[in-house]
Amino acid sequence: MNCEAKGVMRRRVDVWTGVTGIAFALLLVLLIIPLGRLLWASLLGDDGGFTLKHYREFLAYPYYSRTIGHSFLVSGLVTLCALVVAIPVAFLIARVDIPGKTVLKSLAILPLVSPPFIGAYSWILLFGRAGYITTLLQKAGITIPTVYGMHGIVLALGLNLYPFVLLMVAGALQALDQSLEEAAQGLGSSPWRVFWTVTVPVTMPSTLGGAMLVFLTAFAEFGAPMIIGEGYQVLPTIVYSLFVNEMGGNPAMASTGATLLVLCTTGILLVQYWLVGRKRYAMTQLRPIPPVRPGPLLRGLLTTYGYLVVVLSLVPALVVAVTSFFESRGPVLYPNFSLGNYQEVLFNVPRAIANSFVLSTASTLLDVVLGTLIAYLVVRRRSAITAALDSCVMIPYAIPGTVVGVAYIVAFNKPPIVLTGTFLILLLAYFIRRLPYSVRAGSAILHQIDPSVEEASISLGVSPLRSFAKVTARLMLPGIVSGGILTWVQTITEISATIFLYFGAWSTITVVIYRQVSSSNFGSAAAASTILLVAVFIPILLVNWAMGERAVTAV
Amino acid sequence: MKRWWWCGVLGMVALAILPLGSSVTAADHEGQVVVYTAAQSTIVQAIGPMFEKRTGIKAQFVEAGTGEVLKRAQAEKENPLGDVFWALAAEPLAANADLLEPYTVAEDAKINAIYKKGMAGGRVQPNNVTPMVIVYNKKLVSDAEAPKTWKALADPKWKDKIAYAAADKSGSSYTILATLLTIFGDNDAGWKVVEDIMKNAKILPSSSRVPKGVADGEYHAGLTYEDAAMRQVAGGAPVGVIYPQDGTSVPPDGNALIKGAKHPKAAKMFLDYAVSKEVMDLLAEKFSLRSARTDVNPPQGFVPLSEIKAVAYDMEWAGKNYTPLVKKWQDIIVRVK
Repeated sequence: MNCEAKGVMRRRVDVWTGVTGIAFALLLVLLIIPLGRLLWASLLGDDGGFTLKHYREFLAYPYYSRTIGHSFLVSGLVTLCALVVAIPVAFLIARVDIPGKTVLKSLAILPLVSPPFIGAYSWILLFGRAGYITTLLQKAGITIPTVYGMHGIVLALGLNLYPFVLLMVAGALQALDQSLEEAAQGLGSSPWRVFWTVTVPVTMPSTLGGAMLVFLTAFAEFGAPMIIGEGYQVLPTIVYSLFVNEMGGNPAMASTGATLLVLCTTGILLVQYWLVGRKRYAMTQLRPIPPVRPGPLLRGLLTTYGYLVVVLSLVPALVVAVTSFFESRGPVLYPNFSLGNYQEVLFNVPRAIANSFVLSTASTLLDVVLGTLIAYLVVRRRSAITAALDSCVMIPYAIPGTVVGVAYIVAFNKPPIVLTGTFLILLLAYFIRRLPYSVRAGSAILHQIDPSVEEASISLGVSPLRSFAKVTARLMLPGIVSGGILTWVQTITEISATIFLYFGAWSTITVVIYRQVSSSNFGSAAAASTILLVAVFIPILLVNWAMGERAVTAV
Repeated sequence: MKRWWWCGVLGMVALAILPLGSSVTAADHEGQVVVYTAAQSTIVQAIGPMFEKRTGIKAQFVEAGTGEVLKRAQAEKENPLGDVFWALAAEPLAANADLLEPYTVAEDAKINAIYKKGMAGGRVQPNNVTPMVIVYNKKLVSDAEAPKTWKALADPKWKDKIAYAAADKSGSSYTILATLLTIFGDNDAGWKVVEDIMKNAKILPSSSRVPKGVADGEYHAGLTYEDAAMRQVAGGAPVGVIYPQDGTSVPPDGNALIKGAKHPKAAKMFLDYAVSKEVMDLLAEKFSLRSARTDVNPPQGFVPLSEIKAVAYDMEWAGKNYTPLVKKWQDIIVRVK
């Protein structure tokens, strides 16, 4: 890096200052004000004065406090499980020439589409006390532990969330330049040594980024713990029941729990900063590494392994798809082929699917634009201000959707801004809730891109924004696309904020599924979920096909 | 680039077609009513069009669980978006009296007076009623072995075999807890029975999971409410339903007018229609719901209420003591799990 380029980067007031301002303004209106008020309630006593008594109460009451330990344990194990499952498959997809890669890549993201509530229920159908597989094994004289409890949650979430790691690591591997590993080999390193001293460190920020997404998602998840925890409570399930309670709940305690969730998450985030911040590698990718084509036997084995992992993680989706064709009599399912469940949901599914598509596509586009810009600020303009921006952006990650939903009603149901009853409130809630995905994906890929090309462009007189768009954004494209897909998939399956914010004509497919599940109509819920799965899979397949070999990252 | 082009075209076509199905009708006059409901989707789909046909008023439904509906309405309190609550659990509804406007339905005289007690001074109108029951799986438990009383569930032989929804999450589960304390006393002896039952129970997150779990054979027996259990029976699941011999409560679910409703006239028409004989007969015949009206027959296969031993369940007491009772229940859960 020459002195002149450094000079360019040091020029602090430019278009990026404006972008920082806009980003902060948006976060202030859409995040900090609505949620701040709600979290602030945890510090107010009955007389309205400042107090820490709710925190003392929360931590002193084992029914609540033990859930913090549970949450860390579950999320840690889930992350470990996701890393073990995903990293080999990521290598396979990025580095090995195996047949049907586009399909495999597309299938590998589907576990994230696991429909709310019903996905985890599939594990009970298979491995519950009276589950199909449990019963089958019992007949063969084998007794297995049931799926209920902590290990069940880890299994379900691990297989649900590993695509985060898979996408990030595969993306990082794809962005590696051939020369790096070649140079190491040329200097006499064994392939094993090259792997440990070059490949692993360079992809570490992305691996950690993916692990972070898994950990945080698991930490904020309440669906799976509710369904298969059988009384094993984690922090989000407690916050949910304190918050949405048929008998009125306990608002101050709920705010306390939610604030603790945010504090834990921010803490984890700081640890990640510290880990990634010290080691950074940047490179300009000129020649992507061509995939290896191993001998037929090895190729067969590797292919089988890749597909096996993906298929296993798709078991919940498959179970849902199969049950959707069962015959329903009220809440009871019979294994006879029938299209009755589909007829049942035909009444409201077409419009709901359309709503889901329109809302999640629009909010994803917003996320991608703002998320990429914020990622750039955070990585390239490191300062206390952008670090603060990064932490703010991650807050929605930690806050249960339920809390976001209620906070939004309170904030946007009276002048100056009235949004309740319109689709805009859903759009904005989705936008803010899923923004972290775009930011994380964007910053992970930026860590790998050498800033010198952009600096050269700027020093040649091209404006900073144009240089960003023409140079850096293009290099970031694989990361941006993968972040966009994550955002989209996670938005279209959103339920916990939607249930508070949807109105009349803007009911989404997840609302339909949720209502059918709560009426015990599992057949219709399965049918609606299957329609959702197919509707999500087709666009992903198309994007992968369009990106071709260029972007393994794009799923 | 060609691939991109095709994707672009497909995407555009999709985006152009999709919103056609979702034209928004937001005409803000009395020609519509916004109904916040916890009724099953299938019931909403049946009653909505009937109401529209009868009155010419468009009914917009916001469907969610009782807890979510009420939380939503609390948050919207300063500028209410809903007009009526329909088919929410009555106890929590009555506990939110500050959200409600008093109203007496046209056919109030036809509604059994028993259910009007503890209904926030007439702000909540009884809708359907459902006794709390025990369900058991007939494949796992013989009829002779089946628990005939709540007390029987305290026997250690049911350890880890019975299901109960968390009392701090589910309204009907809280009603069961309060019913047990009504029968056995809100004292050490009564709480001992509760603790012994909880020692045996697996705690589930929602009331609908109990009858479903028992029907699927995940649990031998469960504590739940009648109509959810009877839907399993009607669907042909191997499930038996027991009205406990030591007595049970028969709480109603309720409807109410939301304070500050934007369409009060339409809202009142909906409230009248919801408890009309026409609707109640249909709910009894097609959806196995017991009406609070005196002139509607119980659904087919249902035991007449006169044959069920009812206890003097005090809804007002249950509503007022929610926080301390649930806290005591949570303490038990920490102790035994």
